[in-house]
Amino acid sequence: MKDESMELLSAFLDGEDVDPGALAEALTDPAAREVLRDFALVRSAVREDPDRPGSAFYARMERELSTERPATRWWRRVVPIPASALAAMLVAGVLVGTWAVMPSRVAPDRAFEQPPEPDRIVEFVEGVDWMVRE
Amino acid sequence: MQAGELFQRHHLSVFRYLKRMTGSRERAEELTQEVFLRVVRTRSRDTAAGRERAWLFTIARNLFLNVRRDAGRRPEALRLDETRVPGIADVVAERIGLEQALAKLPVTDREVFLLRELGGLGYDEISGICALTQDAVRSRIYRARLELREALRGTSVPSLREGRR
Repeated sequence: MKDESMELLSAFLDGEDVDPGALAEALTDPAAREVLRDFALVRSAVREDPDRPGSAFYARMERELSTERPATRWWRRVVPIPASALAAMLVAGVLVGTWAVMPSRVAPDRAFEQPPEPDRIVEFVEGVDWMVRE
Repeated sequence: MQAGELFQRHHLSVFRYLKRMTGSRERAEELTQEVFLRVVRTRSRDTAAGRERAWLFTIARNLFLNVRRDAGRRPEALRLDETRVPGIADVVAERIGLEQALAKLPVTDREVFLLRELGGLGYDEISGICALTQDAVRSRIYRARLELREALRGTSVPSLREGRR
């Protein structure tokens, strides 16, 4: 059996993309099926490891992990004001602004009631600057 | 994701990977602890969902490489007194045979093979961690499987021994 075929079976076992035509061709060989089965058995033997770290390891890790602080995003650390407080401040600002410009609170401005003072006067003299046409 | 959750999910696979890489369960415990301490210390854990395993195994691999560089020698096969495998003698013998066969693999082949089988990582992730092409990863995993198949057929895994008939 060719090495390329066995390598293809190995990649197939790992869930990698393989050429379906080449795979079908390889699997027609009984030796290929035996290789595939053996690779699966090797995988199973490697993964069936009952060994675990000792109890002292777990005790140490429990201590270490219990001191962990929750991960926070940088902007949460920089701006620790909660969103609800910001919203309340915004609403309060709108209310104060509305109250401040209410018509009853605005003092009448006398300047708007008087015409502006002239800064020059232009006179037109009949017979000089203008004529009456018959 | 919190470090505690990552620990619960992945500590056994990290421990078993490091045990097979270092050849020592005590060293594997130390390094596994260090992996998760680094996770705790890392402020930003904004690793993309589904990439946590690759991240953990990258840390584990780097720690192993440091140990290996410091020790300046290849890891040895697990000693019999280091394996805490409960059960009957043939189960222990099978386990020892497997560990010895794994320890005999070239270190890079063993590494990519274990990242695949214990870490559950894809060829693309292993390629990124080990700085190899995906074709090289594929070939090395295949070679490791072939070596283990031959080694285990000749020794103690009954299903493989029977398969030779």
